[in-house]
Amino acid sequence: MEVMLASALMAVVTVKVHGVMTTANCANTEATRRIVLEDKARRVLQQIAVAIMGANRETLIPEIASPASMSDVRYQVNLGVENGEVIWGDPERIALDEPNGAVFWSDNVGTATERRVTWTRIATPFLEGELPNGMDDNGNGLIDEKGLCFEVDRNAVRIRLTLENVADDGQVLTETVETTVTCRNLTTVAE
Amino acid sequence: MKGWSRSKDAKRGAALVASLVVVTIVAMLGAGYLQISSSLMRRQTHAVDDQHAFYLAEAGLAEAFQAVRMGRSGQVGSETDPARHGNGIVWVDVLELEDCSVRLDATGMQGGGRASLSLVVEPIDNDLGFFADEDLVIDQVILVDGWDSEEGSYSEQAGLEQITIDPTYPYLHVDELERIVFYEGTFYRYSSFDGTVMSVEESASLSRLVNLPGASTYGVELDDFTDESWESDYDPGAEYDFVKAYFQGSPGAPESGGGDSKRDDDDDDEEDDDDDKGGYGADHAPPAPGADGAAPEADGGSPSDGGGSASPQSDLGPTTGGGALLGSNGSIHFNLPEGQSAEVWGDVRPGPGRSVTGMGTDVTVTGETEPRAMEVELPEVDVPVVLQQPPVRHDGLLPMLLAHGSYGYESIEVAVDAELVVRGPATLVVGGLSLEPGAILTLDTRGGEVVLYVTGTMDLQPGSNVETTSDEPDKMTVQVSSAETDPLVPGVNLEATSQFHGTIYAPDTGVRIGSDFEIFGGVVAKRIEVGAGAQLHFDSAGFEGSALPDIVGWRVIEVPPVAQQAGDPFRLFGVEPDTVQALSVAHDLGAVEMELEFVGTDGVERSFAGREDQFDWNQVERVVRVDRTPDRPKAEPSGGEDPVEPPPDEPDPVDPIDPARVDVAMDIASLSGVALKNALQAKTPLTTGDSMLLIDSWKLGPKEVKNLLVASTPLDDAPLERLLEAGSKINSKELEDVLLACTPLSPDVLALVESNPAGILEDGERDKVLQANR
Repeated sequence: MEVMLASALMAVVTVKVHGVMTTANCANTEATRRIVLEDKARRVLQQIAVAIMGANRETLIPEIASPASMSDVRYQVNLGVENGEVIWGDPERIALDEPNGAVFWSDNVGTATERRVTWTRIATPFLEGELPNGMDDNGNGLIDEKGLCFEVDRNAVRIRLTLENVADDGQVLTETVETTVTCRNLTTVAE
Repeated sequence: MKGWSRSKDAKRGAALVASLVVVTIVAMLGAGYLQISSSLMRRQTHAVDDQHAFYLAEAGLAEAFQAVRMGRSGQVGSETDPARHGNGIVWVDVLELEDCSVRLDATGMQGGGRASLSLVVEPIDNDLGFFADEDLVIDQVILVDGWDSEEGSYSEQAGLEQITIDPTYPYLHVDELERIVFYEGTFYRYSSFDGTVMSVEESASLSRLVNLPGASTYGVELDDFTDESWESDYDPGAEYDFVKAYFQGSPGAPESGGGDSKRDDDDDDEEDDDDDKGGYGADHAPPAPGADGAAPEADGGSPSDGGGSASPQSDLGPTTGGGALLGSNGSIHFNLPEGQSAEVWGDVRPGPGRSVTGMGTDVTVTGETEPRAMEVELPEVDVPVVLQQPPVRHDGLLPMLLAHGSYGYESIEVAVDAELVVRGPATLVVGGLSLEPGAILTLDTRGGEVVLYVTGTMDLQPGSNVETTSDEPDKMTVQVSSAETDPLVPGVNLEATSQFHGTIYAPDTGVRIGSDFEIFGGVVAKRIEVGAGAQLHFDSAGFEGSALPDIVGWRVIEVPPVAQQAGDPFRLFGVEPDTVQALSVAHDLGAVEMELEFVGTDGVERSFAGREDQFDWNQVERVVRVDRTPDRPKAEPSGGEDPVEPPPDEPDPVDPIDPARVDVAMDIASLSGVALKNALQAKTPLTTGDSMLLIDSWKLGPKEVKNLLVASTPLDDAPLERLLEAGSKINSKELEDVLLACTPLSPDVLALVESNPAGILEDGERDKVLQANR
């Protein structure tokens, strides 16, 4: 009787402890995933932001004002100054590869030697809360904007990015980050 | 009972074991979670540190940018003596590039974050408008205004009525003030004879007096320009009449007014002179702009009259009514005779501490008259090296054409009625340029920019003509490198008739602007003299209205090696955060030579010349004048001299057993940056051996080395000789300080100063040292 009682109590305690630990583990796992996702989003955003800051505003294409936006920018960066003239690099590109959810950087754009570096593969096709319905669903002033979108306002570029993480159990985490940067190089590129 | 007792003994401790197992499991889980969360924390902290380091570098660049604006070097802290900002450190290194622009390299470090950014700026604001280095005296009638060439033509912005000329008449032009002008030379070139366009040679071979009356043989219908005097007896003034007549017959053309009496009078005066000038290139290029009656108000026949006066507020001619920029490093005096007036439709900016005087009712200034914050330093003209050809005197009938490219002539003289055409893009370097009366200089900038360098004098005599084909001032630049020898004789004499679209830069000589030389652009010169009725129009395209340096380029650069080590930056540099100088006070003032005139707090006017860091600003009540000359490290020209080899790593013969030297050697070997500086400072005065080690170590910057050596004076000859002979990281200014601190110098050291074997001492510093030792 004593052993049975002890066993029962032990079982109850074990189940409770297991429950608590499972819950804590789930919560911790989700928090961890969210932190990792946010960190990832911030890093990609920072990479994009630094590239845009170093770009020549005159070479930033295409130039679309809100409510339209773009998910593909081409630009040239400053390689240095020689004899008072800025040396501009070959055109570079940052874009969203929608089918693969990839945000990538590439140079030698459109040539056989084009190099492509993928910064993330978990970008969403559309920005968080946005649906492809010709309307501004998430109230940010843009219509049907992609998971990576650039909005140009004179020398400033607002960058928005949504990343999505799907767990093994099917749980979906979404993280949206945004920043506004100014092109530091406003020099006109010589023809 | 005993058995129960034994059984009880056997079970004793089981709970403890179970508890230990549970505690161990929980501890392991806890440790695991702790590791995960600390890993996440580190990851996030590192990202935040990177961001903060980036912002620190940006803050450093901003601080250095403002320093450059103020005429300082832009150096903020240094690799060995960084500045603190928030929880991180930052420093900005400066390098003056060959084209006088300045590269600022900022490095920020916080926690594990590192970032380096580079900014290239041009410290001089070239948009000075009409600017004289010396005092500017306005003692004649003058009109100064401005317009923005990027926003349209001057005439549009002056509100003048637009006139369109039928392209069939290429010899008719509309000038900037919407006046019709007739180009006689072009008339001959474009006139067709029996349906064939005449070549320049053909047109030149024709005598104007013989052929023009036979107008019916030309493709041009001169009947449009009916003028009685034209057919009977050529009258040089007739061109104006037939041009006017043409517009009388054109739709919407204004009525011909009766204001031609002056023009006719002038024509009569010119007739005698012109009778003996046959053929191509007679003196009938564009009529004189300015206040000689050619302005719309004075010329009743001007088309602009049809639209009424566009600038009723001006008595001196059409104006945009704003945008002028008239400046000086000195004072600006209006000293007008009775009854004459000057109008400046914009700002009049004297130099720092200077003022604008003579502002009476006859002077109109619509903008600011506050002094500039900083004196403007006018850099020397950098004349390109081109092959110099012998002097040329052009007196032929045909124009002398300089096509695209770079040319050099010892001098060019264009004789009476001859023409010189410079076709852009071109760079022309001449020892002297002279236009005699009737000579024409055509600066054809339609194909590209023309840059004219004059290393001697430029004399455009009255009656000569200068034509710039483009109305974009940035297409035409004149740079004069010569220095005037006689202040009464300016090196640049612009007495020609012209509507000159371009800029003139003559930092070391005066520029005289005649009344018929109307300038659309700007002039920067040592001294500016203006003739009566001169009209100066400043092109404000790109002018920001401030003296901010121009940003040439910004980019992210590689972090320097010293910042690539991981860890807390304060620990890496071996310093306590509280002991590091703040960013706002980390400017290297020692790198700036300053000449200052000021009124002290006691009301007495004083002056100071020396390094800015040696000056106590607390004694200043008001600055009268300040002139800073930053001493920036220069970029080595490509393919330049070989870098100075570090001294050979050989044992020092001096003080071989000095125990203090062992400590210093250990310090030098084990420490760096601020920690090393502090350690050595604590050991001053250094022995001769210490000083030698310090010089040879190359671990401290020139300023720190200088400070330590000066604190260790008097020094023996050995370290001084090492400095002078072997070369070191120390530069001319610092070496001068050390030598002066050790004055009087021994004959051996003085001999080395004279011979300057390593070439560190610059002439100025060497002379000061020698002077101090005489």
